[in-house]
Amino acid sequence: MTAQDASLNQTREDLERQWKRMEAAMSYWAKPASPLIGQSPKEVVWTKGKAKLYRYLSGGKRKHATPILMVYALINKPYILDLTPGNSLIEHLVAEGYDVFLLDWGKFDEEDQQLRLDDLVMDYIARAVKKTLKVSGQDELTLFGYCMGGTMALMYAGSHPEAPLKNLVALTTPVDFADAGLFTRWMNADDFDVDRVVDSLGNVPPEFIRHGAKLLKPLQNFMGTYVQLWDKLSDEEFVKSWVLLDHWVNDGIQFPGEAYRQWVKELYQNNRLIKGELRLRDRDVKLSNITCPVLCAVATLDHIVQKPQATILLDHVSSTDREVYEAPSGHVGIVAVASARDHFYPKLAGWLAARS
Amino acid sequence: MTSQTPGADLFQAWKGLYDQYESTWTKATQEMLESESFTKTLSQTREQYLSGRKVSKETMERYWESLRIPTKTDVARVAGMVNALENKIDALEDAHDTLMAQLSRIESKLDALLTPPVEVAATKQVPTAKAAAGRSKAK
Repeated sequence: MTAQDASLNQTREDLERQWKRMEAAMSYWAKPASPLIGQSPKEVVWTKGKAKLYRYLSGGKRKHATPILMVYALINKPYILDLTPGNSLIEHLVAEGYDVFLLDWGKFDEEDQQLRLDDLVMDYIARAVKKTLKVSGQDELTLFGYCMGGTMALMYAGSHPEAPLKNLVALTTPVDFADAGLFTRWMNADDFDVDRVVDSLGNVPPEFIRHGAKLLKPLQNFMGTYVQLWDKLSDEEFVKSWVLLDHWVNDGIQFPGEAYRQWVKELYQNNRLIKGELRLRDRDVKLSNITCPVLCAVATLDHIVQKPQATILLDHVSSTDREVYEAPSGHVGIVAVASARDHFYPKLAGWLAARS
Repeated sequence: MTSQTPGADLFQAWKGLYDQYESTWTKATQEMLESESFTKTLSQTREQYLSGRKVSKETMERYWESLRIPTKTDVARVAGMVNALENKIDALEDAHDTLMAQLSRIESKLDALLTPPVEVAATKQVPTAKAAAGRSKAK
């Protein structure tokens, strides 16, 4: 083969590869806009406002008596915990014999603008706890919170010393806001007038929060992710996972205005939770009121909630049984990429099995 | 297989460039994001965005009002009333649960008071609270 032939062959291969990539791209964009998500069978056992409490149906016998109540954040939607069959934390826990409940906040609208963290913790989480116990017929439960859902779960546990908690799992949960990376810089009281934001917008639209989060790593979020997608377009599994996550990232909900005002002022600007100065309605929120076993799970590549922000929790609870788990992933990847099945899923199921 | 002739595959050429300079660009971007001037620029951009959103919202409200069509605020007001009603029902449910729990405790105490010690019970039957209530109903 002459050098000219080799060069022609190389060019042909390059063109073929580009063509295949183009075909894959076209078939991806031609597919329906909404991929199938949140497929685990479930029933609604309680509703309040827009919120729903789901109980996941178990095909077989439930091996563990203690139910798990999952509390999700006010940002994006909770189906990240049940992304798709084979890639779902909830599916995994149900298969392991757990009785799983999920508090889904629903889609807030203008009438929910006045909802404060007080309401969400005292009226929603506290009631969801009661309903979970009533429906499951148990006296205690495992409270599981993801991201700011974890912070709200801690607010509940810290303000209810009598809470019927068997265990508490805080997954990538911000607790200390003294150094929340760039967020602390951008949201300091001098530069970020949260009153002006809430008074102008009412509820805070999802794109406001989404763009803020993406700005933490602009190169990776606005360019790198698409470079990676284009590069791996022929890898069907990768594309499927990318599409699901992209759909979730862009599927945000409005953040109730008053809750946002409190979230920024009380936590980002005054760091009241860790200082023990937070009050919700007539109750003080003290992390030292937490005495049950605590698992604090963090992601080593998380740039939204940094490790020290979360792990400091264990210095403030009164629990003797407490553990930090580090997953080699990012903030979302810890529950929603294929490797989670080898890391966080079995870790959580195993930790709970010994305590449920 | 990676192309040896990047000219034939523009993407590979671009990706090569991206991979080569990513860490440099990231470092430069991070420095910019952490700077005081960026925070100020962000603040000004946000201010413009908020002003725009506020004007747009108020204009739309006035437009719908002029057409005598319920605005989003009107719908939200009604939905807010439904929420308030739901809160009242929740409060009633709480009160009901509390009463039931108290009743249950009282019933247990009454049962304990009216149930004779074991040795007495063997010779004499003393009615329980429930049985006594049943008899008084029958009368």
